[in-house]
Amino acid sequence: MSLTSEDGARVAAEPASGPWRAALRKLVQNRTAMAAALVLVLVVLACIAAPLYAKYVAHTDPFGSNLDGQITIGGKSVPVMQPSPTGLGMTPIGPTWRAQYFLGADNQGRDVAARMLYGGRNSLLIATGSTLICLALAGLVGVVAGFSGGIVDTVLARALDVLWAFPVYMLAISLSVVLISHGLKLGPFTLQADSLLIPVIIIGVVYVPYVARPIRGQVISLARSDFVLASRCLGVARRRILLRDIVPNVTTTLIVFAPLMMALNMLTEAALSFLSIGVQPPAASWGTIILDGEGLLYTRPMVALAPGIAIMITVVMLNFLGDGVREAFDPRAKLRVKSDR
Amino acid sequence: MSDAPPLLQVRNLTKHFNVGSRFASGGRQVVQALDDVSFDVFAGETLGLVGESGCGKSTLGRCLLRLYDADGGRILFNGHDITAMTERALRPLRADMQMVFQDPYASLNPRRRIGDLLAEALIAHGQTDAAANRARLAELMGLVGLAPDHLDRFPHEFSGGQRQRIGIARALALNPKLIVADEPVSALDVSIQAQVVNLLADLQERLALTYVFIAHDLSVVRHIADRVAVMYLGTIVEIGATDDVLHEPAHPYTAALISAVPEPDPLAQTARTILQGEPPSPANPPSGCRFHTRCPIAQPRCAGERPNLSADAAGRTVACHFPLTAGGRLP
Repeated sequence: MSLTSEDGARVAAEPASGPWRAALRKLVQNRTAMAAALVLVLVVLACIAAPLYAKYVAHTDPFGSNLDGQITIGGKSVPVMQPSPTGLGMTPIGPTWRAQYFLGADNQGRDVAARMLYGGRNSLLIATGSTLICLALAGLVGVVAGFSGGIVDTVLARALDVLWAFPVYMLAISLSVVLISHGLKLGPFTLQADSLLIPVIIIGVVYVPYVARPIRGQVISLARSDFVLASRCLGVARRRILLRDIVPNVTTTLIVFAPLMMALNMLTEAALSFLSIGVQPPAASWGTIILDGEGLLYTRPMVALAPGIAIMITVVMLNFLGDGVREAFDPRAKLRVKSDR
Repeated sequence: MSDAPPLLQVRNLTKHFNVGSRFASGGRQVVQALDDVSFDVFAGETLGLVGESGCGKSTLGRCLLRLYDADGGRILFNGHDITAMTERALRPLRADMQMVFQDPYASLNPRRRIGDLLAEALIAHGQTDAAANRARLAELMGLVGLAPDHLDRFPHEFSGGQRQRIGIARALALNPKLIVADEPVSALDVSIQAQVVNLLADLQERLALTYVFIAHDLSVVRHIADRVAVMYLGTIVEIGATDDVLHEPAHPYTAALISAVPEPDPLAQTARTILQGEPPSPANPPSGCRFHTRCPIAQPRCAGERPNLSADAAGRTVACHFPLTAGGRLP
């Protein structure tokens, strides 16, 4: 009997690359995902640059109305608000495809392009913020419920079921109506009625069950897995099992959820803002700009179309990125791949 | 061997699982995974535990290490009754009893380096000196035939056989007395199985280990076990020295199990006993002798009266009203 491992020849010669790095490498090699990430980076950069655009390119205040302004196009001075061809009211100027009023004006005479960039900031902030809140809460609830078992699990799981039993939009709308009309006061913690945090929290909370339930299921199956049994067998403390065996394996699931939840949250934000229970004027988001454009749909469709296209591009790119992330990080998809059985 | 008190004494061990929901069709069922199981394991020996899938072998192994809590009966390890010990009281004893798992792909946390996985054992028992631990881990790797620099690798970089060696190293980390090996080679390629079995045998000799070796492959058990316990539907039907049990089975189920092993010699004449039907559901076990529904020599008495596991006149420990005599052949 020899103690050398005869099947030992096949251990890779190069030093260890961990599952995290392997997943990242796989993600970077995924062209679709990287192209989507590039587009998203451009969108984010453009939105960050909103004040620069407003000040140096469009020379406009995107939040103040400009009903009797004039701009110069081809040497001629043109009013921003023109008499309507039908004779009723005023129609804002359409897309000029020039620096000023590139995409035209809305019915307050404000530059739609500049507002798009500012609105994108809010849409992205809300989508990101609510995703972080959702994943943090869902991760916490899912892990606690799944790992505790017993009565704690029953109570938390049923609470998630109850929350999930409400149609998401109805719950979000009800919460928004209450919070936006009164703000929120919880002890020392107050939220103004027009705070951006209100849609962030609402959207984050309504999707908690959507993420927490699969996390809980995964934790339950991890807690019964052989490697957790092995740790218990060694006498490893429960808290250490939770932190070393359970949490790292659940984290990948949360990472996989992140871009998909961002896309979902962005759509939800747009819907709430369109119903004027999300971002409150004068602040803008892509949803509120679509609402602004609703009345101009026949005369100046670009006002509603442009933010719609922005939402679509961002959401589709997030989904492409999400697919890539899932392929790279999903433990079921990956961990057996490299084992040369 | 039999002069010293047994390392492990199991008395009337019972374990059931509730399956199904109260609201499901058929309602909640109680599965008798283990029913009145008693046996001893002596220091330094290997007890093979065989039986077909679902007979309770793995459940028994996990109950022995308190990974499952038994519902009845007692487990004495080294004189300590561990059946109802709190996890805190049990922790020092855990160092003495370890497990090797069946699936080497599921038993190593994929997100941790081998060194961290193995160090967990030492840290759990208060050994936190990193340098000393590193030396101990390198020694363990050598013991199971792996290189110390493999400690920095992740599980996915190893083959099944190598992973199983890592699992064995983890079980050895605390210098245990008893190792429960739950089908340690059945998930491995046949070419690797022999290596791992030989490694286990070699380690037993060097480290004075005691094994409870769970398997469904009789040829592996024949190779490594000193004694064999045969399980059927949550009970032990026969227990004894490996040669006796496997060459002259006294219980008709053992005989059927042995006759199902393929004979490597194609010219050998084998009278094969094929059992009729599926094993009954442990949620609804037969009355009397649990094997009587499939037993080729069952008598009316078998359906009514349950045979106890006891030594018969010929010195064989078997739970059967009509044990087979010399030759161990079924009619």
